[in-house]
Amino acid sequence: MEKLSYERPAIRKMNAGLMNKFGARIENEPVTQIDGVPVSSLIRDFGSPLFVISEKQIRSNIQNAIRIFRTRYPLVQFAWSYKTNYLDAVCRIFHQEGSWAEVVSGFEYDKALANNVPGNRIIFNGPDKSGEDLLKAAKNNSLIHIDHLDELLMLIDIAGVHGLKPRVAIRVNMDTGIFPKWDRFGFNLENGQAWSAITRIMNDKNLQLSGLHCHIGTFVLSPSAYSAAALKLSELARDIKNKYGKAIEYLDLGGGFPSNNRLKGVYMPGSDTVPSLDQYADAITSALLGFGYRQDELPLLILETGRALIDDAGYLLGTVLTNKRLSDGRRATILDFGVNILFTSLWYDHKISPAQDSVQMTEDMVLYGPLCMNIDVIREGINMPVLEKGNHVVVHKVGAYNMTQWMQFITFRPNVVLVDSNMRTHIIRKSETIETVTMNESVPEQLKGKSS
Amino acid sequence: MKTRVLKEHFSNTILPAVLNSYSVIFFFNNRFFSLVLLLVTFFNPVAGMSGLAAATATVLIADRMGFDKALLRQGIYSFNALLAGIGMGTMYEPGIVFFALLLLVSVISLLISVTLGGFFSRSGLPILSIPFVISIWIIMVSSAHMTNLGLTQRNVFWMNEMYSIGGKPLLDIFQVIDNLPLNRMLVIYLRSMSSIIFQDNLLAGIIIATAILITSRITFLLSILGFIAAYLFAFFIGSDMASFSFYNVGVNYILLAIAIGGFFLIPSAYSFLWAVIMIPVISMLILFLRMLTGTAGLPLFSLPFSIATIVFVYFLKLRIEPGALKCTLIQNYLPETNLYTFINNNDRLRGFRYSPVFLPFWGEWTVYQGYNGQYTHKGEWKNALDFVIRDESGKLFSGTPYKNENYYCHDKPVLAPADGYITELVDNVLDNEPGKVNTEKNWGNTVVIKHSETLYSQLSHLKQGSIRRKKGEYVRKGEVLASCGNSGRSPESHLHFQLQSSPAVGSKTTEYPFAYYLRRVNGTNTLCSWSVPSLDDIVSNVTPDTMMVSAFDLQPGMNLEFLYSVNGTDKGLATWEILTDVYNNKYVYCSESKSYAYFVNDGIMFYFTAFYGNQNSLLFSFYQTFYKIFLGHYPEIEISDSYPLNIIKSSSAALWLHDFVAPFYQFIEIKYNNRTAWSDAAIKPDNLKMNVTIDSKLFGKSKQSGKGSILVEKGIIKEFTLEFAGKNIWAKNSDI
Repeated sequence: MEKLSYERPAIRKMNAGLMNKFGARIENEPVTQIDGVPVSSLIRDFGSPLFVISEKQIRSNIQNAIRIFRTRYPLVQFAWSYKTNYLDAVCRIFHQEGSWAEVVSGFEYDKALANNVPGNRIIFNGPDKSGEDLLKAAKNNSLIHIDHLDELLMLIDIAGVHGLKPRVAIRVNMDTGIFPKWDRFGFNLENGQAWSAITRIMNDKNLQLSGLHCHIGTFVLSPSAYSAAALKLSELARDIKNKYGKAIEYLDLGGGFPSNNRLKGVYMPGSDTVPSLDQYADAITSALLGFGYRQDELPLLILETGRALIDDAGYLLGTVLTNKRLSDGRRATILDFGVNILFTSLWYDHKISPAQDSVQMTEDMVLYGPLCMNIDVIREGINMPVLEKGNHVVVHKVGAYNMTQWMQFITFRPNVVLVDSNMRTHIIRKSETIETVTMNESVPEQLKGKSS
Repeated sequence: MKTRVLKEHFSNTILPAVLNSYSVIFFFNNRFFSLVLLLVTFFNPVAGMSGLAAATATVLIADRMGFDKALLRQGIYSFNALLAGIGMGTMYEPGIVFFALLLLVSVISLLISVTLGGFFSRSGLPILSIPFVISIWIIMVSSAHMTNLGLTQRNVFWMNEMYSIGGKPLLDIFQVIDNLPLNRMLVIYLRSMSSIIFQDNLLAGIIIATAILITSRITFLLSILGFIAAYLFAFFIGSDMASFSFYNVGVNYILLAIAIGGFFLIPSAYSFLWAVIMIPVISMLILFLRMLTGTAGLPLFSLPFSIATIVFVYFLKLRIEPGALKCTLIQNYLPETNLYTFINNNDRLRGFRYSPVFLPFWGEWTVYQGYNGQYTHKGEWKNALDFVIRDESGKLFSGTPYKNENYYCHDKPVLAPADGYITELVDNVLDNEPGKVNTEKNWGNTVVIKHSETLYSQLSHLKQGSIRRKKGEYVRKGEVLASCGNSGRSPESHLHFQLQSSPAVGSKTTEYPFAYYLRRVNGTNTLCSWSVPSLDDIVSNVTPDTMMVSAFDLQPGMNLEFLYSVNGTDKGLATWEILTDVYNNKYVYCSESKSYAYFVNDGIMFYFTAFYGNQNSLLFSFYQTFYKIFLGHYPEIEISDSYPLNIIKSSSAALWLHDFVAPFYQFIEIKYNNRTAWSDAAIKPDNLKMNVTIDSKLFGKSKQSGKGSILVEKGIIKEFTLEFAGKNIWAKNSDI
């Protein structure tokens, strides 16, 4: 008989039933596989830590979102927000599902082109577009969403010089009743900047005002904010129609739909606090349908949803390095991934599951990353089964932002693996090596040679 | 000024009317055939002249008296006079009395043609050559008392006649041909052909038969069929040849076969069969009528043919369900054209039979129960559709199935399928819990919309209190009416849709197609038109593109002007008008080439339905290139269609062969394809280019035989090109 592993004696608070005032019962079901591929074999084959992305989940998310909106409103288009996750494989799944590209820099713009997105299906957002970027976008007939006056003036110049007729929208910011107000992006509606930008565009002979854009925030938990935004944009569109006779072709309500992740400091889990996508869809489409557009002038509704479509398709697999007892008696578990690659642990209390069957005993503990930095905390307090060195964990809902905002710090960024719909695995981004990091470095002559 | 008007009137009305009097005898409307026949009648110069004179006189009188110009131009009023004139010229010596009588005969035959025709046409029946028979009878009977009118013997001594016209060479030709060692049957056939215009010589027969062959293969085939059938029948019954004279064979048997087999019916194996069946019938009729008229000393002429054909046409018209034997509704005076346009229109113009109805929802829904469904769509309610929304894994709901809200379709907008008035409305039935049904209020919350006197749509099982409109209100297609719910006999949320011909809730359902919708199969959409989705089909509505809609919104009163070149040579400007006829059919008219291209624009599709006129005109290329244009902007969707085969130049050898078998089997197909090649924007583009290809299919093997392109810019058709049949057309809208 195999030797049983040692179980440490422990005293634990009774926690029966569903919810009580101490919080939810801790579910610590082990997650041993992702889309049918065992975690252990993933780590064996691709190393630890490891990002895993589920193609099936991405497709399901976008199809679900399309269904939710298109059955409520006749003209809906999704544009994949590149900054949320611009791994080419991920972007291409979205493009295959019919999404356009929403980019915010020349780099992302080129990435979208390289992903075979036709220029006229790229939406170019953001405050930092260079003259070259604008020229390229105008030549490609992309939708340029102007963020500020200087950009508008630059584009007017470029269009004049090159004889182009770029299709533009302005980004509008407004009070939708939520905090924080994102008034640093685009033109403010209430103080009249938006209207003066529109006047300039309408008076320019080259620029074609095609749409209006707003992006009211991120992780917005209130659907009514969207209906306020849809209403205000519609009013603006009506004013443009009345004054210039020009029907606005599309309203881009940006992104900001939350995922099911649990924000730090929120008592209830995300699935209970976050409104469903249906509620957002209801809010937006009923505002548009109720506004009184002529049937043949209903604007196209563009959505730049990022996080809500990708977060739960991403997993981070990791391995326990060691355990230790802190000075206050709490247990600390050190993992092989930290805030360098799991940047979102600064925002969320990520759900983390053990990846193997474990003892029933759970204990409050702190999860630390491997960095030699005090801030490298993954979870400040989590109730989990006791983990031993070499055990694996699965961090859920990490698909958004981590693979774009991660840092190369102290160590390399790991492999990213895609599990496709047929349970096959594909490396879609190789882990870095020393060459990746030093490739762009150069050493002045006097520093070359042996160090003494 | 006045002479110009007169000249135009002559070339537009008088000349075609006189000429068509000739070709309409063989049921054609063809200038070449007319000229040939005119020439052949002059083999007997007096007969030829008196025929022409009678026809011309009748045309002038009818024109002056203001009868229907269209019928006049088709030769309908004058061909009887022509026949009577030829007949008289054959029988009597020319002279003053003769010409006076000829004029009289013209008047009499016009009188009978108009009055009898007016009476018959109310039942949609032809009068054929009855006026000819009556008017020549009148002359024959009365001429017995006219001593100044002499019977001619020229026919007996026709060789003298020939000699006097063309001298010995002409006579030689006639004699050589008449003495050709031909098969007996062939001789009878050719002589019968010539006897239709009261002649009896092989040359006339050969020329007429050849002209028929050149004009229409099907008519030629039918003439032979009629002849052989008559011959075999005579042989079979051992006829004394009394009913089998050359004249009877030509005028009665052969014309009967042509009329039934290819003119009044769409040529098919069935029409051919009936043409054969009618041969013995007319044979009896001839023998019978001969007994009656013989006592009065009157020859039958084409009376049996006229009676038999009129009776048969009337007989067919009284059918309730026509089946495979189709009457010709739009007469093109050419069996080939009738056949090809029929085949083409039968499929293409399905929409003409219905008013457009669209899917009553947005987004993709799935048919959960189709026509003749397995659950409740049975009996009187068999033609109904149940729609639900499924997710990518086929599920109807997320989370638990015990809450209505969890069903994807629940509370989703339900739209008006077409314009109409709300005639019935129920909005107070509680929504069921999933799994339970309300059999007391079977239909649940329901809206019935009246689209026309005989078309109502019913939308049922709606959510309680969700109906946004009131009874009696007018709703427009695509307007949100209510929300999908789970009321009435509905175990889980779904939308019940049916079309019916009476207003009561739950009336008997009508089989009725949706005008246009998209059906998704393996991730790609296909466009369905005038069809009904079946079980498990994933369907959604088509959204037209506003720019395309305005580009193809051709309204009467508008002009189109194109600068164009053919094979690189500048041809200047083509100017067309958009006009509408009395039936409100719109067409593009080119006055220069006198060409008409009829089109339909139903808001989703712009397509041409017919072309008449000059196939060398730019309008014809326009018709070919813009044959069918989808007004939605879906680059993945290819539009395919078939041209009617008669649009190929009739010189095409393959088509010639094809014409012979066309009534039975179609081995040539000419396909039109069109697809968006490029657009400047993914939605609401300003510029859009379409590529057109024309493929010829021969026995299923496809070959590209033409290609073109269409450029639409900011709501205007800007440019088009077409390479087809060795011609390279480039045309640019000159309004821009």
